[in-house]
Amino acid sequence: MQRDDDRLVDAALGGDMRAFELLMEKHESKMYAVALRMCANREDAQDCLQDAMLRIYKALPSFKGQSSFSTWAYRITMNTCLDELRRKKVRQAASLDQMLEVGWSPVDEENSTERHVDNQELKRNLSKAIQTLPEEMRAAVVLRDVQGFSYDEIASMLSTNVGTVKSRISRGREKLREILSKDRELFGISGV
Amino acid sequence: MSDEMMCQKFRELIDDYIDDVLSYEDRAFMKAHAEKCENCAEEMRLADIIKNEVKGMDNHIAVPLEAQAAWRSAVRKEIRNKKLKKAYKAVGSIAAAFVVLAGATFAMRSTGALPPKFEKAPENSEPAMVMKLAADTDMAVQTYQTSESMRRSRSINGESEIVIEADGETDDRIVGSLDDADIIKSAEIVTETENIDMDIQAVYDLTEEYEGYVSEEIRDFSSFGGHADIVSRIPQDQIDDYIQAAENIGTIVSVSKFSQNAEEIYYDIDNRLESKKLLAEEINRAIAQADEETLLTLNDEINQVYEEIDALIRIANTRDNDLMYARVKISLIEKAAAVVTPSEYSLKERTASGFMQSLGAIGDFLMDMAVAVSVIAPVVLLLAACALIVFFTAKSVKKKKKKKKEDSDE
Repeated sequence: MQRDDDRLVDAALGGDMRAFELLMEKHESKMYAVALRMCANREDAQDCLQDAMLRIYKALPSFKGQSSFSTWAYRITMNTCLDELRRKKVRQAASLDQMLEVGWSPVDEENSTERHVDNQELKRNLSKAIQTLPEEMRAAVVLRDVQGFSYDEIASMLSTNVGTVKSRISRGREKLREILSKDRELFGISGV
Repeated sequence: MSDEMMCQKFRELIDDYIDDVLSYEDRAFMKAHAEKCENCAEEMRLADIIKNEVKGMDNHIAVPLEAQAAWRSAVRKEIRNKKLKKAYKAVGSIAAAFVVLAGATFAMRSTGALPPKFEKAPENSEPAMVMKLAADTDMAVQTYQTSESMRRSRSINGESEIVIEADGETDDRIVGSLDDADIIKSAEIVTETENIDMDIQAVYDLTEEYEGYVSEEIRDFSSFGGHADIVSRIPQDQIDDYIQAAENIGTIVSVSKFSQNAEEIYYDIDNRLESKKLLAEEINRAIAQADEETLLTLNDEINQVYEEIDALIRIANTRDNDLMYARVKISLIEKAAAVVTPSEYSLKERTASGFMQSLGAIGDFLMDMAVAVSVIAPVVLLLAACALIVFFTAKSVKKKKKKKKEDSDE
């Protein structure tokens, strides 16, 4: 896969738009999902995705292959989302009530290909809980627990060290547990 | 281990539990402790939610179509902009280089640093066509054209070299200084004038100055300008001075001097006159003694002799006059006072002429620019070589420093 990515990177550097599209098609869903988790709404997530894609294209000549392309691309995506959040001075996650009012749903039921009827409610509530985390914790938790990246990859993406990543994830998870524990009835935790 | 310490340990292992990297012992510990501690059991349940429900919760998310189109469109636009920027950069660089080169060419033109267009004429070279006018009195050589029996060349400054030939052999009669012979001198001067009237008057004045007289003046006018021939009779001993002075009138075109032996023109006039006179006396004596029959014949003869005597006297007088007064003919040719009415150029001709002029000037400038490049090129190449040396040296030093730092870090 890395070799395929290298070939596509070379072609894209030569101005081959199709090569760049193929390269990014492999990652755009995950990139969008990360942006959706980081941003408060769908529109911002789409803007972040577009900005991230542009940044990736512009920065392509500087990609030296010191990390995998996906790691490099997600780093740019995460930085774009964090920059957007900082620009909007959103230090704290939007309140659950506000998100509910605008009909926000990270699950994006319209495009769902799978439906987990039993725990859909649970997942929705978990999503809301994740949104309440501070952005740095949220980034680490999303990348680790939602997307499944390794600690090393996350450290590279967040331009920090593994120890800091572990710390953020630990605190993020602890906070999630607190939120989950605080109002069992609100989140309707079942089957536990 | 106290309960508190066990709960502390349990909490420390929670992340590894979620990450599923616990050792067998730690897993057993957590399971055993959860059975005893309700709080820790609750933590484990919440950790299970995070572990099982959060992971992969976004796997079904797809990018909306409008978002896909939006980023593709943005990237395509960026590609176009990049290509345009490259083109602008190239054009800008070429324009900047052209401006710098044009400036350098201007500067080199004005300071004369450019190699010249034409080869410098060698020193002391003379023009291809040298019009040595007779006005150059130091250098001009004038030839006296004489009769076939006598040839002589004399420089204007008066020195004379007598080369006398007479029908291939020396004639005692005419050998020696020409000053001894009866020489009739004449000259012809052709002069270009800008003001014919003024110069005609100047000739008259000069003639009077040299105690001569104008014997003839012929003027004619043509569309090419005026022309006048003035024949002045100047005392023979003054002719050279007169000719020299006449050279100041107008612009001399040519001066020709002639000398002739009076004897050739007026052959034995005196003897012939003397013999005619003697003949007349004889006839008169015969008439005094003649009868009527021969008287008529003798009268006719004497009349004829008297006519011949008169003619000879006239010739002798002319000869004497010619010997006393040299004949100088000055031809004044007025410069064609071209009254040319310039024809007006049409707008089309003017614009075409102006356009060609500009093209020519641009062509000249571009050629000068090419020459300037050849003048500047060695300097630029030298500077480029120096810059490359500095660049690669600095790069090498930087690389070595980096390697040294990496080695020391290890």
